[in-house]
Amino acid sequence: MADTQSEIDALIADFQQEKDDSVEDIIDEFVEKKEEEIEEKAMPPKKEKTEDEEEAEKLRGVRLPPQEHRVIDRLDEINKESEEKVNKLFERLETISTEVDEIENLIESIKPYVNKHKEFMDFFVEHFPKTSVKNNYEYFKNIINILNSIEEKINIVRDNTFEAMDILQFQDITRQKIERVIAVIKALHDYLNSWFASSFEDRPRARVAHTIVDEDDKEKIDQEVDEIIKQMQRGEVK
Amino acid sequence: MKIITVDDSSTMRRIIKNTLKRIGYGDEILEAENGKEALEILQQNPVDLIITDWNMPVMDGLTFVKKIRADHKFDDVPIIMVTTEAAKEDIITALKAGVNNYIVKPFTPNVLKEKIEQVLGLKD
Repeated sequence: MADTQSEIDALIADFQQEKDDSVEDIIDEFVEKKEEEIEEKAMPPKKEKTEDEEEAEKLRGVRLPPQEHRVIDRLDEINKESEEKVNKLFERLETISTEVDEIENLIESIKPYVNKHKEFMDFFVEHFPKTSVKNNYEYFKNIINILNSIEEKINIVRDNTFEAMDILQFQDITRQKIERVIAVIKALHDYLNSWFASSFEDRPRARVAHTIVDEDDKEKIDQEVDEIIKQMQRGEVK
Repeated sequence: MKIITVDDSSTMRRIIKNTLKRIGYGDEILEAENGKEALEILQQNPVDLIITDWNMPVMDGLTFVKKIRADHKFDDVPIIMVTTEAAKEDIITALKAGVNNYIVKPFTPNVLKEKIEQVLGLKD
């Protein structure tokens, strides 16, 4: 019996010990988990890698400049944007031109009636000069003058619209000036790359303009062009 | 009259198209962004006049003119080059390649009209 009791005591002691151990484990586990949570909260969230970062990784830490600093891309964008805007501007000018034509057509369409009416009033005033119609006749002549003034204004608006359209050629000339700058940058890029034997995928570009005429010299250049063409036709240029 | 205007700048194509209408040549105007595209269009649509730029990507104006002149189907179609290139040697190169007349950008409607009349034999 005594043996059994001592065995029971030993069992209880073991059980107690195990219980203490497992509580300690649970506490340790809890503390560890909480510490991890605190640590995670303190750390900044993990970011997705950007294309630039991935490229930089491939280049073993060498960072490429950000997109907005890539000069040729930026210049191409500027060219594209300015072309789009100029085209929109051109569309507006075309709309103005069409509307002006419409106004002119409307005036033209009422003119025969106005002229007919004037003929009638001319006759009436000539034969009955003392009637009150004469006052109306003066008003009417004034309306005709206003119509003529509107037609003059239409012509001024149209001429100015056409001139503005012609001026928009500056966009193409400016674009070609920018293409020249791009060509210099590209040449520099190719030269540097040739040192490192790297290659560069590029879209096809236009040949760069050799000469872009200054507006002040334009008339002189046009005359020279005509002269060269005449010389060619006469067989003077070999 | 059917005309094709070849220029990589959409603004310039628009300006040329609009100017042609203003000076009375706006019946039918085709457009191409470069020489290659123009050649493809011309195979299906023969024209009475070609107005082309010089500096274009894919196929430049000079190569385009040479290809046109080498093709018997188009060898008598008048060509006007409208470009920023104003050096004498460039003008001569273009004329030798087969260009009938030459305009330096920027141009006025009067100049374009005059040159068209010259290449169509309507004016000396």
